[in-house]
Amino acid sequence: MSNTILEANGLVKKFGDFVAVKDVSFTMQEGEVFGLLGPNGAGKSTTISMLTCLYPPTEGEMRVFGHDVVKDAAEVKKLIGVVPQDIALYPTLSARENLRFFGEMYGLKGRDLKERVETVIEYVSMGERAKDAVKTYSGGMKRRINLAAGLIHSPKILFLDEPTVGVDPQSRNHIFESVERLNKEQGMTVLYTTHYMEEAERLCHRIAIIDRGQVIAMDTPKNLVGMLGGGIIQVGMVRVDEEILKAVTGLSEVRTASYLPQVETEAGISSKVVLKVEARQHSNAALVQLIQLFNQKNVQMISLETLEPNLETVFLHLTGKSLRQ
Amino acid sequence: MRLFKIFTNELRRLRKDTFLFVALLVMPLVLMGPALLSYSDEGGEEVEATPLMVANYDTGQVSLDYIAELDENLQIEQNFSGELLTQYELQNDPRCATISPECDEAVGRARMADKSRQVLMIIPAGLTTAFDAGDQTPVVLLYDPGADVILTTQVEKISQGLAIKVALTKQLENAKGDFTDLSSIGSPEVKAEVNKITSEPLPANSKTAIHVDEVSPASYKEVEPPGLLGTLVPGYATMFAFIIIMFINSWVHEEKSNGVLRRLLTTPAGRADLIGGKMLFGVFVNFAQLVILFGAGLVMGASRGMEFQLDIPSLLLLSLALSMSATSLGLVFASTKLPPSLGLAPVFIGAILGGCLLSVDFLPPYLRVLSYVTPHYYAVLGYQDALIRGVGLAGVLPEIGMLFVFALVFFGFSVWRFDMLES
Repeated sequence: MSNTILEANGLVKKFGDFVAVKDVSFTMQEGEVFGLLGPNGAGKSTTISMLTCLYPPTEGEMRVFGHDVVKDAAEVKKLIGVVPQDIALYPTLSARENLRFFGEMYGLKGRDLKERVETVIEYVSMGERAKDAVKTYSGGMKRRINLAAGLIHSPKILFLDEPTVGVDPQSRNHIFESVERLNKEQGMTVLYTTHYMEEAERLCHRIAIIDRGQVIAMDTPKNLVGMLGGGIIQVGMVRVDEEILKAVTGLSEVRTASYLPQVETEAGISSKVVLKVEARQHSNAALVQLIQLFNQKNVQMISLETLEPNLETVFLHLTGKSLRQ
Repeated sequence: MRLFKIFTNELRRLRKDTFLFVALLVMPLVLMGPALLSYSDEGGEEVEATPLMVANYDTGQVSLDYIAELDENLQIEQNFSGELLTQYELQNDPRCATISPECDEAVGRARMADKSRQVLMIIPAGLTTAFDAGDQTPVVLLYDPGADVILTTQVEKISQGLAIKVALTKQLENAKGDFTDLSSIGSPEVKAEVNKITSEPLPANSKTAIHVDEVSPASYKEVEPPGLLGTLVPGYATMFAFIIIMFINSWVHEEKSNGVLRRLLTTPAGRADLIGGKMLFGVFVNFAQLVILFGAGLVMGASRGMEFQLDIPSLLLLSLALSMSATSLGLVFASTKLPPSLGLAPVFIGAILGGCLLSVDFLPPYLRVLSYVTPHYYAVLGYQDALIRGVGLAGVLPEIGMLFVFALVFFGFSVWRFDMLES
């Protein structure tokens, strides 16, 4: 994994006055599964759209295998496969007919085309239903054919844009296994966007966390989670207390502490104040110290929540909000 | 070439979509068939004239002349008796004891009430006397507001014409009298000459001042008048050709909403392949549709003894130009954000404005101007040239040219405006 095959430098995309992507930069190594993790509207799909030749960036440059994505789009298109978020298939045609058509669009023909169609159908385990119209499939089966259509021409890089949205657990698992097999058995490089942290954690070698069009953190899942130390504890209080904040920050098992911005609900600004505490090693040890301190200072806790260190917590830590907000 | 692959894929989609297949290729035929058969005025069958019921209370010559004049163009119904009286339960009505205008009026009103007739004319007593005295007498035309406007207009115009004719005859007779009176002060020779002139009967051909001779312009070939069938085929075929707008619009809308167009743009297929492939498909299907429609129309016409100018090169070129203009108009609609159901609007609005359903001469002047900017107008005109006027390919070229211009403008617009990424 040392050969850089995709570079995105300073990507900016504006739609009128709206800036969908602000200064996104990253690279991908050959054989890597790279994740773009972020909530809906974070700019993941716009970034993928630019990389797959759908939109030119307003600023910045992109290279795939050394080809400029804007200037050499025709070359780039041959090297990439795209699995869009939508079920981008003709519902009245069968899986085989859909795959045949998309194969033809990549210039496949004759025996090659026939073989590739059968190979990808087998790959996604849809052999028995391949002659049926796509509209008769379950959501998960459609997703599998959607994936197969992106693989029909044996791309070097596969772009998967939220491929598991609206999928049942069984089909989701099938998609995970397919991606893992593609990567391990064929060494395929994959760019995977999702707002599910479990998917990113399971599949990706490296992850860029993206929010409001910007990459706010990028590393391996282990290192990203490691940023949090022992995890996060959230203490609900009735009011802001600067004295207790100072005391908490001084605890030996606490790395940092700060008040979260007050949450706006339908009824107005919440009266509850949340103190976010980042544990140094183990959240349990920090928790014991916190409870003792609050008892000593006679400060009321109205809620207490321990967040395990994972990518969801990392996102919360970095943005102050959850991935699903 | 990817363009042809897109074309064949669209054909595959059409084959798989039974509803679309039927709607595009079979439905027009199904709809046109009964319409054409209902106008069976070809093949030597005698068509009954439109009926007009008359209740005549006048006993003079003017009303008889009036009815005779109407009888030349309409089927006059009066002097009702027998089963008709029983049908309307008037057999024991004192008004119907004998044939009488009162009975005719009673039957006429009953038939209008059950909507089996639409117009009843009531000629009042004393019409002839009043006419001779130079007084105006109203004739009542009782008509159903839902009646065919052409029938009421026809009766009105015949009445006006007859009134003028009778008035002129009367004036002429008066003038003859005056002329005879004046001759009494002249010499015996003058008297004898005047007597000779005024006593001579009118020549037989003086009954009508104008004789309408139906002659086609020199550039047109003489053919039997094609009747309604011949005029309906071009109009219907043109109207149905534009149904492709709705389907192109609906298919592109589906491809935009399910992301297929986006996916295709990430493949080596270019914009030109995608739009060109759809254009090729639309033209092909549209052309096939026209061949089927015209084939059926012509076979149906021929089986009824109708004479067509079968100018195949003109028909093929016109159909190609029409297909291109209809398909490219479909692409124009597909390039907008309008919902697919609105694709029906240009089909029917264009058909009305372009003279597919009724001659553009029936349109008010401001709408007639709009006709000239519809491709429908030139298509109907072109088909009539090729089928009825028999002007040959050279004569149809202006219409073919206009249809190609429309196709070019529409296609250019759709290429410029087509947003494949819109969803």
